[in-house]
Amino acid sequence: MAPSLRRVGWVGCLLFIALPARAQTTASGEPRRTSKPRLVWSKPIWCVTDAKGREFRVQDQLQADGTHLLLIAPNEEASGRPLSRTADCSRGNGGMDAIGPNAARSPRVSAIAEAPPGWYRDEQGRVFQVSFDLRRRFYLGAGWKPALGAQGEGQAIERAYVDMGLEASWLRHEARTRHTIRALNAHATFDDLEAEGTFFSWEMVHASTTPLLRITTFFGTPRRYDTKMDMGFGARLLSVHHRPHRDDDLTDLEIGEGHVAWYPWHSDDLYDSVRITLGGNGGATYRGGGELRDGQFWLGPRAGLELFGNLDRDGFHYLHGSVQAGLPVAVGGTEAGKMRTRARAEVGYEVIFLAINDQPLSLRTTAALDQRDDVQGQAPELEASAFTGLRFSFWAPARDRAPLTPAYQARNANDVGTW
Amino acid sequence: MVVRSQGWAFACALLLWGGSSTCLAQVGDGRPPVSGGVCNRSTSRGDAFPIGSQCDKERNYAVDETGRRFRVRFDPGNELRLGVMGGVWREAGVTHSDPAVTGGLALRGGTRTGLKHEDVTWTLEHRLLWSTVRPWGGQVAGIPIGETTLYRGTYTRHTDEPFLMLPSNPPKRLYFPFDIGVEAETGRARLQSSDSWGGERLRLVVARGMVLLDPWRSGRRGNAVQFGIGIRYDLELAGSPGLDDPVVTHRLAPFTETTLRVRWEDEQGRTAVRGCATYFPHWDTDGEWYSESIESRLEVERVIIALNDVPVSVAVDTGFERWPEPGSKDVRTEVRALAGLKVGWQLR
Repeated sequence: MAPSLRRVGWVGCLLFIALPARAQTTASGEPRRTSKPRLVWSKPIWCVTDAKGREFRVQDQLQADGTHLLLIAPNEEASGRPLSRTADCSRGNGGMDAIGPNAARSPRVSAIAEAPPGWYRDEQGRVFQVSFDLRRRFYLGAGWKPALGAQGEGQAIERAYVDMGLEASWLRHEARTRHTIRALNAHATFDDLEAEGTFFSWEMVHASTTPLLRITTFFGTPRRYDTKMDMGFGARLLSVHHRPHRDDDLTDLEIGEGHVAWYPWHSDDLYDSVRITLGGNGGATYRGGGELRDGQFWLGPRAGLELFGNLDRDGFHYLHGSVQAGLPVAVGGTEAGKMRTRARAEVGYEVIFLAINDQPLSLRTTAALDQRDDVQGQAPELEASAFTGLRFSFWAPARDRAPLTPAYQARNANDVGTW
Repeated sequence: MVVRSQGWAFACALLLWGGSSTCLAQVGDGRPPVSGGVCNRSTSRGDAFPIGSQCDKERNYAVDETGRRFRVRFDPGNELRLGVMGGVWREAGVTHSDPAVTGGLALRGGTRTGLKHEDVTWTLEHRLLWSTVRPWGGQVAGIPIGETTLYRGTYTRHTDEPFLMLPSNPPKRLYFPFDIGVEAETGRARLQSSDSWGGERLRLVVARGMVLLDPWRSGRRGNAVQFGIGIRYDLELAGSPGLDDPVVTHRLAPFTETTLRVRWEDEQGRTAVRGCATYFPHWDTDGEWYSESIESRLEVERVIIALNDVPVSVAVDTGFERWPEPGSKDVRTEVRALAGLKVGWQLR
């Protein structure tokens, strides 16, 4: 296939993906409305059998005027299969009388059975997931990742890209911390091979209940100012990067990385954040192709600014960006004491546009600028790259947006009590 | 419930009686309440509560409108300090502008005995490893130049009605218009490089002792005007290059060292001014009498902010000294004018 036809093919694929993505934006961004009322997941539900032996799910709904309304939904799908993902229901022997003394006389309305948070049940009774957490998933992806030097040299336009990885993030309310781990994250481009992978990484952020830094000023009346300085930690173990910047002779191994992080901002559930990291890493650089001779060990400081955000209620839109820099210093070998520079800036966006068997398929696009001064030959020191492609995610449970419970209940300082 | 309400009312009454502006059971953001209240009564004297007592500590804190507690009163006499200062040093006609690192440990305590007008308050002030180091000003044998005092202690006695007793028959009691005190110092070392002096020097105040008289008699910690007279023994090593084979000069001031010292601290311990001028005519090893030896110093400190209740001060330090050249009648002059920031970790 001629290169021009391939590009046309890629553009066509992007349009094919982008249009459905636009369509889902309106679907998930607005409150869902249907013609029929719905049973509420968190309220008591009764399972009642009628005179013909058919089972219904019933919920007593108190109206604004004080009257009661019975919402009644069949306990089967329209096809006759049992409903799935329903709440526990109470069963009584007395029919409607088991619900309440006046239940038999209350007006009845046809309704749709309840669905768990993050799930949706259609009018036929079928349930499907409509909220996703892409920080809890195993993904497989593929796409297109062109790269070129900052001066336009060394173009690698026709590069396919595959990636995979496991990510899990969970909130511990009692400890007011969020932990995020990533494992076996890897990607590779071909047929111009470049491969990168990380065995394991861990991040922790803690929402402190007391300010880390309190500043008192003594200009006139003393005043106290509290700073919000939530801190976190992180570490990474075993990362490999083969042929960075398409330097045929170079393989980079990061043995370990550790950092502290300051979070100038984070959401109430510690999910979205802006953070500044400061730490160090160490590893080895190998030259010599497949035989990996002349290992050069290095250690150095690293710093970065990172942001991550889920832009909508149901976990469909994700934005991330980062700027990171490191100064590895060679320890031992022929270049002992020599300092290198490495820097990377990246911005990316991912949107879910389809779910297959409740497993989301997402479009991901990124742009990156990467600098390192230890490349040789024709490899550019500064490389720009872009990526666009698809990711299929497994697991990805419904997004839980429950915020951290406030450590203390705020109180009006002018409160004089009620006596 | 009634009993509980009465309990709260009683607690609030106690707090209000103590001069507190609030009796909230929680701070504005819902955190637990602060302690204190009855200790916040205003007093006419700074040492109305025993030094270091619980009430003395509680008075160090204020509570803002939202119930947050923060320290507003400090004790520059009880702190571990570290500072950075910059400015100019003029030594033997040569001007330098290298920065200095200052630090040291200050401790202040006291005892109070007697009743009513016979109250006797001893204030004991100690300074340990009080240093001004110039890391970029030069070195002698690998040690950066500067000055360090191993220990200096000032012990002053205050009473409301000081008197002298004449052992006549019958004994007579005469009014004595001074607080009295003593000062002791040992191990003040000053290391100077050859950049200014044409050779390395180590000036060591081996020991000095002094009797102090205070006509101000403020009775408040850190406030005094003191005249002193005492004895002093110095040792001076001069060499070029290095101090491996130095010229050693002994200097002795036989109760000829006189001092005028002025010290003032505000009630909150946020501003401190300390001035001192010492004149010490002395003999040296060769039996020569030197009458032009002067040391003077003026320090001003003002707390501008506190970080987590640790005060950060702006500090100004100026000094003027005249000192004889070893083995000659020449006199060298030193002047310094420094300004910088200082952090004082409070020990009480």
